Amino acid sequence: MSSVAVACPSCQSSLPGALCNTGAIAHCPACDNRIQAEIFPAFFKPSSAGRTGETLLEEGVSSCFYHEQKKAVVHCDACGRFLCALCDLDFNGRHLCPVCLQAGRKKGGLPELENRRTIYDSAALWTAVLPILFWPFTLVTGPLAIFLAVFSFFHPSSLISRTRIRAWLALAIGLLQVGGWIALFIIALRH
Amino acid sequence: MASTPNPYRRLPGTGTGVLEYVKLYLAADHLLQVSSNGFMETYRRFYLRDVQAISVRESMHGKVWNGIWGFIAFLFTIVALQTTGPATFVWWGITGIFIFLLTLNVARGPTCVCQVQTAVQTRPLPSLNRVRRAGKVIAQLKPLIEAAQGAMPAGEVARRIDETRRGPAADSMTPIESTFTPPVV
Repeated sequence: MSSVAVACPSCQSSLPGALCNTGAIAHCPACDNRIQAEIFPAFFKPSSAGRTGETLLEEGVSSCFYHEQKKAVVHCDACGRFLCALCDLDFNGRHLCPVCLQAGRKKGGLPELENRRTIYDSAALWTAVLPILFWPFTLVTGPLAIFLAVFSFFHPSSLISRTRIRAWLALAIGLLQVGGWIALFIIALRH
Repeated sequence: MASTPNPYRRLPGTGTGVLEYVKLYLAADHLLQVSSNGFMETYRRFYLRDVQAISVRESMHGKVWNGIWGFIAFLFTIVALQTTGPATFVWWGITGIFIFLLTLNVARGPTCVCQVQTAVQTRPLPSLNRVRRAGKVIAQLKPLIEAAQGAMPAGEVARRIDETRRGPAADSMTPIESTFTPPVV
C-alpha cells in the first residue's frame, strides 16, 4: 500500500477519503480550492521487487543464454533464446530478451516503444502552404514539398491512423508552385 | 490493400504548449498523449493498469482570459461610441470579435489543470484544460481503469485513504510529500 496520503493538487495537504472519488469537484478543506481527485486501486498496490534469476544447480537443465549460471524459465518470443527470470522482459504479454527489445526499439519494429515520429506528410503540407505568404521562397519550398510528400508515402506516418490527404494536398500545391515557376521562367525567356 | 483498424479513439479536448498542440487518445489498454508541432509528434503512454490517480484543480486561466477579452472589448466599445461615420461599423466589428471571444471563453466553463499519476510519474494532461471536459473524460476512463485494475468497493477507497492519512507519515493539515506534483504555472 502507498505510504503517502492523497494530497490536494493545489496545497498538498492530505485529503480526507470522503473527498476522493466523488466524481465531482469539491473544496479542499485546507486551501478551499476547487479540486477533484480520483484514486484507483493501483494507488494502494505495493511496488513489487524485481525478479532475479534462479541459480542453476542440476545438470541437464537449460540455462539462460545471457547468464550461464542461471536457470532458463522462458524463451524469447522474438529470437527463441532461453532466458532466466532476470532477462525475461514482459512486454505486453510477450517475453522478450533485452537485445530483441533494444533492436525493436532501434528499428521501429515495436510501435509501443516509439515515443517520437517525424510526420512527413504534415511537414510536406506545411512546407507547401506556409511559404505562400512569402511567395519567392516557393522556388525552393515547392520542390521540397513534392519531395517530402513522395517521401511520406514510403515512411510510416503518425501512430494514429490517418488518411494520406495531407501528402496528396502537399503534392498538388507543390506541383502547382513548380509549374508556376516554370511558366514564369518561360514567359521571362520569351520576353 | 487492407487497412489496419485504428486502435486509438480520440478523447475530447486539445491543449496547447509552446508551438505545439496536445491531444489525448484512448487505446484498449493505455492512454496516448500526442504532442505535435506539425513536423514531429511526441508520444507519452499511460497504461490503464498503472494509473494511480487523476486529479483536477480549477485554475485561474479562464478568469484571466475573461478579464483580458472583457477589457479589450470595453476599450473598443468606448472607441466605437466616440466614433461617427462609417468607421463606427469597423470599431463595432472589432468589439464584436472580442465580445465573441469573451462569450466563448465563458461558455466553455472554468479552466483546470488535470494530472495523471502513476507509480513513477505525475504528468499534466494539457488537453483536459476545462473542468467540464475533464469531468466527462474522467467519467469515461474510470470504468476502464477499474476494469484493468479490478474495482474496489466505493467505501473501501475512502477507508484506505483515511487509514493512510491517520498514519505517522501524514498529518491532516500539514503539507506532506505530495503524491501530486504541483502544476508549474
